[in-house]
Order: sequence, then structure tokens, then C-alpha cells
Amino acid sequence: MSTDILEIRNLSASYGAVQALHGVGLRVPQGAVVSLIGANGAGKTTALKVVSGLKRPDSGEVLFKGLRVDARPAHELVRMGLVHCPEGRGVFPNLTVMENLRLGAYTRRDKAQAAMDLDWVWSLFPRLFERRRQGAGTLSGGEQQMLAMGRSLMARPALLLMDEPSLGLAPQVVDSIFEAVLKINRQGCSILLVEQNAQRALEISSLAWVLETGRVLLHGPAAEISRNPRVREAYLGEGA
Amino acid sequence: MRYKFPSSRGSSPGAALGTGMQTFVQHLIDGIALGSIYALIALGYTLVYGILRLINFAHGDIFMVGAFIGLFAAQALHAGADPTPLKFGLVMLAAMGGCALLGFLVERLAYRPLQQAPRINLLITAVGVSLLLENLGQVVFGPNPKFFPDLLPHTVLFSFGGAAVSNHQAVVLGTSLVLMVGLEWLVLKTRLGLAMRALSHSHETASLMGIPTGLVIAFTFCVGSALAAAAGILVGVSYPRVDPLMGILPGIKAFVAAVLGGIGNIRGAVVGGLILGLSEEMVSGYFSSTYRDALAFGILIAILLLKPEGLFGRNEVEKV
Ligand SMILES: Nc1ncnc2c1ncn2[C@@H]1O[C@H](COP(=O)(O)OP(=O)(O)OP(=O)(O)O)[C@@H](O)[C@H]1O
Ligand SMILES: [Mg+2]
Repeated sequence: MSTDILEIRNLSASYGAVQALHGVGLRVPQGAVVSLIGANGAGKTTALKVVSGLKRPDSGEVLFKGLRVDARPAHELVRMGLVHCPEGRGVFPNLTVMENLRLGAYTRRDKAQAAMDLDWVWSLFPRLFERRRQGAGTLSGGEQQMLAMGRSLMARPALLLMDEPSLGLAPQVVDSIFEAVLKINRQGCSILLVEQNAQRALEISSLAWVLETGRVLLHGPAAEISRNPRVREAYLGEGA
Repeated sequence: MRYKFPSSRGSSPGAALGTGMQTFVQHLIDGIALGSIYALIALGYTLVYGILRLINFAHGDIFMVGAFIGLFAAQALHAGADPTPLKFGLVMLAAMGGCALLGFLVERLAYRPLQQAPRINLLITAVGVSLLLENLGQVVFGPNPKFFPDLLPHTVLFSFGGAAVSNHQAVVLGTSLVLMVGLEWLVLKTRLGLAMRALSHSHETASLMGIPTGLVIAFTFCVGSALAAAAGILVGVSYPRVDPLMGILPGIKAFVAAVLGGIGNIRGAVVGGLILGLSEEMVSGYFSSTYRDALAFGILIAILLLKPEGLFGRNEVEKV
């Protein structure tokens, strides 16, 4: 019935005795960009890890394309089209740019399609093409982010989870990253975006969720959220 | 620790007669043959370490099991009475296959359940597996040394100026070379090898690429164990006896070779093995074989003091 590509219901998760998520719910409509914002330690990364199968939840449900997936390991979800571009980029510094991209396409058998996707990655990030034989560890922070995104695209995601893609990057680079996020979305890929840069994230999202210490504080259309006084005070750098 | 590679089948004519140069060349040949055996074992340490950051202390004992599987296969094929190259090949395959299975089981039963446990638990378990295999070996195979059938009757392939290359040495070198080149191809040119290299950096990120990390780890154990088995057969070909504790000393020495080359580094393991084999051969040839075993430990202490990351290793902070 639903047109949500992702739905999280009442999700709780913890690290040992520390509970990081307390009954979080969230949904990503098919084809949408959705922001998940919140202060440091709010549980954003934890939420993405549970969704992508890196972490088992204590309770709750994750539905991807209408299927329960919370008991599945990460590598199976990649095959289903749920791809997680992790916090801190996570490129393989010991491998070349090209090898990193090939790893992105690890699960794929459709060689011809993958070659077309590679061209699309090169056109999205021409700098990667120039550096394709270079070790990924020698790339700048911005280039590593581009590589991480390009690598995720090589898996043909239906839903892309992105954890703070703009973290630590210079303003022009941030612009190009956000531009790329929009282009990716226009190709039909749904996106769940975690950002410290709440302003920018809300600008390109249709819906937004705000987490505070592991609980959903607010959610709704991104435009409304960015007008919300509590959000403006806490995340958009405005004193009330 | 009573095992030493005993005197090899056939004598080295060069060592017996010779001028200084002949003797040196002979030691060189013998050292490279010994070194490539160390290298094969060292590769297993380095592969597993590269992926799990685990020193698989049971690895030397897997080498021992490989030699015994080879012994039984050779007996079943009557390879001692009627040796043929085909039988040698079959014995090799049986040992490699059997040990690949053993490596798989060790990983599944002993190490996998500890995936989330602190690293030290894994290390202690590895010591436990080693003791288990040694003692099980004494129960199953009997504690006394067994004669390893002569799979390839000794001949001198060619000699130059008094130094000789035997068919055993040629087989040792040839087999090692093929296996090492094959491994290099696997790791650098195949999809599975790419996955192994991804795991050596991060299991979590590798799983985000859709890599079934558990399978890749299991496969790595299989490959490392098969290489150790091959080394076990090559030792059996060159030296006539096998016993359940025969893995201890070569295991430690191959570990030293892996550390010398930079543990986790594949070419490092090969170079480390060759350096160790050559220096052992030179030391026992020119000084006394009593110093040979001490040499490996001397090298280990020297690396740990001077260059803990090894010759080719990256200088990583490691918490084993
Ligand atoms: N591996 C871990 N072990 C123990 N506690 C953890 C671990 N990872 C996260 N936590 C805790 O879980 C809570 C949520 O962390 P999480 O990383 O999900 O926050 P976040 O919203 O992504 O923060 P940031 O904006 O800093 O990335 C925090 O209190 C954190 O300390
Ligand atoms: Mg985070």
C-alpha cells in the first residue's frame, strides 16, 4: 500500500549498556530526499547502521521496499539496492580509485550496465577519472567523499543512506557534493541524508526528522522544520 | 621442540668436496629451497593476519597435518613402491584439499564464535587450537616419527662446478613458485582477491560493498592452510620423517619470516622466508648447525627492536 521505500518503526538500539536509539520511527517516500538531523551523539549514525544491517536493533522494525530487513546482514541489503555511504567516507586507502569503484559494483553481474554507471560516475566527478589509478589514501578529503559517493552509485542503489557527506569540507566542495546529491536523486534514487549542515540538508529535502538523544523530537516537511524556532535555535545557528 | 629438518635425502656433493665457491653455491641452492618452504608457510600467517589481525598459532600444526595427509595418501597410492609424478601430484592435492578443509573448520569452530570478543581471546584460542592439533596428532598418528615415502626418487638434475641441483630441490622451487605466483594472481587480479584486500582494511566497510565477509575470511583460511599443506609435502619429499610435533619449529620460523617481511604483506612473507632459509643454511654451513635455530630467534628479536613493521610492512599501530 505504501509508497515508502524505507520505513522504520519503533526502533531501539544500544551499545552495551548505552542505549542510543529509543523507539525511533521514520520513513522515506519513494524518490524523495529525506534529512535526518540532530546534535552530536543524537543517534543518527546508529540509525543508519541499523538500517543498513551493520548493527542489530534491540527491537523495532525496518521495512525496505515493504519487506522486513532488520535481521539481514549488510551485504545482502546491498544486493537489494540499499546502500550506505558511511560516516568518514570509508574509502579503502590501500586500493586505487578504480579498485574502490569496482568494489562498489561487487555484487553486480550486469557488466554492460556497470560500465555505463562508471561513465556516469566519471561525468559526475571528473576529478576521480583523472586520479583513477591513484591510491585512494592519497586523495584530498573532498575527493575521498566523491569517491565514496561514486562507489555507492556503482551498486545501483534504490535507496542511498549518506552519513555527513559534507563533514570537514571547504565551502565550494560542499556545494559540489550537494549538487551531486541532487543529481543522484534526479536519477530516481531515494536518499536518506544525515547532516550537520542542517540548513543545506533541509534545502534539498522534502521531509526531515530531528533526533535528540535517541528520540524523534520533530518531523515533517523540510520547509516547516527549517522554520521551527527550536530547530532554528539548535541547529541553524540562530539565537532565539 | 625436538624437530629439526633432519639431513635431507641424498647428499649434497658440492658440500662434501668443493672449493669455497662450489660450497657457497651449494649452500645458496639449499638455502633457497629451504627458504621457499618457509615462505609457503609464512604466506598463511600473513594472509590470516592481513584479514583478521590474528597470529594463527595453529598454522604450523596445519602444516604438520598436511604432511600426514600426504603420508596416508602416498601409502594408499603405493607411491613409495611405485613413485610417479602423477602420484606426487595427487598426494599434493589430497594434502592441500584436506588442509583447506581443516583450516575452514578451525575458523568456523574456533575463531568465528569469537568475532566480537576481545582480540586476546582469539590469540589464546589460537594457542589452544595449536595444542589441540599437536596432542590430537600424537593420539591419532602416534607420537613416533614416521617414514615419509620417497615420492620422487632422488636424482641430481644438473650440477655445475661441483654444486648440484637435485630433483627434490627443483620440485620444491617449482611448486613454491607456481603457488606464489598463483596467490599473487588471486590477490591482485581476481574479484575475490579484491574482496580480501578490502577486508584487510575494514570488515565493516567491506560488508557495505556487498561482500559476504564471513565467506571471504573462511576462504582465506582455506588458502593459507592449503599452502601450509603444500609446504608439508615438500618437506616430506626432501626430508624423510614426519611426526606430530614437526610443525612447531618450522611454524615459529615461518612466523619469524612473516614478521621479517612485514606481517600482512604477501611479498614480504616470500622475501622473509628466503632470507631466513638462506641465512640458516649459511650459518649451519659455515659455522655450526647448533646456531641455526637460534638464528631465527635472533632475527626476530632484532626486527622487533630495530624495525618492528618488518622490511615491507607499513608502520601501523597495532593492538594484537
Ligand atoms: N561503538 C560505540 N560504542 C559505544 N557507544 C557508542 C558507539 N557508537 C556510538 N555510541 C554512542 O551512541 C550514541 C549515538 O551515537 P551516534 O554515533 O549514532 O551519534 P551521531 O548522531 O551520529 O553523532 P555525530 O553527529 O557525532 O556523528 C552516542 O551517545 C555515542 O556515544
Ligand atoms: Mg554520526
